[in-house]
Amino acid sequence: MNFDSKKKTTSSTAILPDDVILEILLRLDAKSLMRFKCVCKSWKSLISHSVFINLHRKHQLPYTVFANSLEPSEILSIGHSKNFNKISELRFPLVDFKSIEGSDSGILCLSGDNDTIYLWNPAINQVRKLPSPPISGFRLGFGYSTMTNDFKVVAVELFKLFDIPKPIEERLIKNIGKLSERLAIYAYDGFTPGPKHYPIFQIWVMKEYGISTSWIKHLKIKLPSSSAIEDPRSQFSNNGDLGFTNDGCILISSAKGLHLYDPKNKLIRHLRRQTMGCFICFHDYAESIFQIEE
Amino acid sequence: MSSSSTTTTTTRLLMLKASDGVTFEVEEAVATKLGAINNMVEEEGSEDLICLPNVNGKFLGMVLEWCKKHANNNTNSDKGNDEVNKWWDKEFVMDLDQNTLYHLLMAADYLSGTELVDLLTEKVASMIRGKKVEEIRETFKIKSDFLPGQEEEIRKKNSWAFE
Repeated sequence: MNFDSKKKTTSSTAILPDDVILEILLRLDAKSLMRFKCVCKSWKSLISHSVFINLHRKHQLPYTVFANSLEPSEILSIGHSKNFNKISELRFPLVDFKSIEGSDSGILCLSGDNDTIYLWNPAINQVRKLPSPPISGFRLGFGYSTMTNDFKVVAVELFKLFDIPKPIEERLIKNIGKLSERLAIYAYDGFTPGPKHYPIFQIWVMKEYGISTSWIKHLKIKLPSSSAIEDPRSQFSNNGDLGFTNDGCILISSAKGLHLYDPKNKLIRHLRRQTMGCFICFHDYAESIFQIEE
Repeated sequence: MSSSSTTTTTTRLLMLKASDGVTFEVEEAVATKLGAINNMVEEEGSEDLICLPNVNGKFLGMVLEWCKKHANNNTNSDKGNDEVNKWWDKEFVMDLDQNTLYHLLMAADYLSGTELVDLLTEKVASMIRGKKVEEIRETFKIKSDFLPGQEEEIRKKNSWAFE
């Protein structure tokens, strides 16, 4: 092995090699990177390069974003693991906003009035209004395509019908979503007996996509009775959603606010008080510096 | 460990020689935490003295101190190890001045100590987050090579990032 290929660095002021600079920049936040484009030409082209942008997003901490049903333009983000107490507000700069349709690679796909679709990168403050699709009454799918290095929004008109898991009654389904890349159903499973009725949730995942017989019960969540929630029955009967963190915790919206349930130790924590509306549209999110402006 | 080795239970010692002639006697299991040393041991096998002309004794010593700590912590099959390592890593980088940090980072990079490079780059990143462009140029000894007007244009485009 040739160990003399790199320059000798015995001078008192160290100049870091390019591969080390790259590693440092990959660990920076979006705002700092946008500013550091001004440092010199080579930093600007590095930070603008698609390979860098893709590597950078893989270094970012996982968050969950969600919206308030009554104030949808108030989008909140919450960090996972040790950052649970850090809830920040991301205010969407336009008014006609209905819901978060999807999130991938730091870009949120939002729908507004009259079938308007927006892409939004909150980390670098960019919004793009997409041309309205020629159809209406559709559902949106959104994702980043690694084949084309671009984002795709798909308006879905054609639906495939799947049977829901046999033991679940349709009226008890709270939400349908994605859990570890699998189709998942979150449903009520009754209430605990006793003076206070705590809701029990059950989560089913479809092991093989499209095969209705492959539904398996993934988890049953019994909110602990010690969790100081007054009148839980009415509190959880609103239309709030459930969200999942990458470390297996569950975010639950109730009439009192946002709670975090950890299935490992069966503990519930209150994260945010909220008496108006409920929290909806939970999506995974991590910062990125993908440009979406034309 | 290779199958031909008859000393699987005894610890083999390696001699590492820094650019300024300072030598370190280190257990193989500690030194091979560094990718570059690991490659040399695998390629050259019997060689016990390894010369490292690009790292001086001070920084080689610090890199090896880190490797030793991590190798020791990992031999205890305790679950709290990760926490111990994290706590120790924090202590390790806490009081490093910029110049030491950079030299250490270059040594770790040169020796392919991936985990240590991660730790040190994260430390540098935490130090420069939120800094001004001028401070970054100063820190990394970079001269702006933009033509007049070019920098202003980038600033204008991303003006929110300068608030």
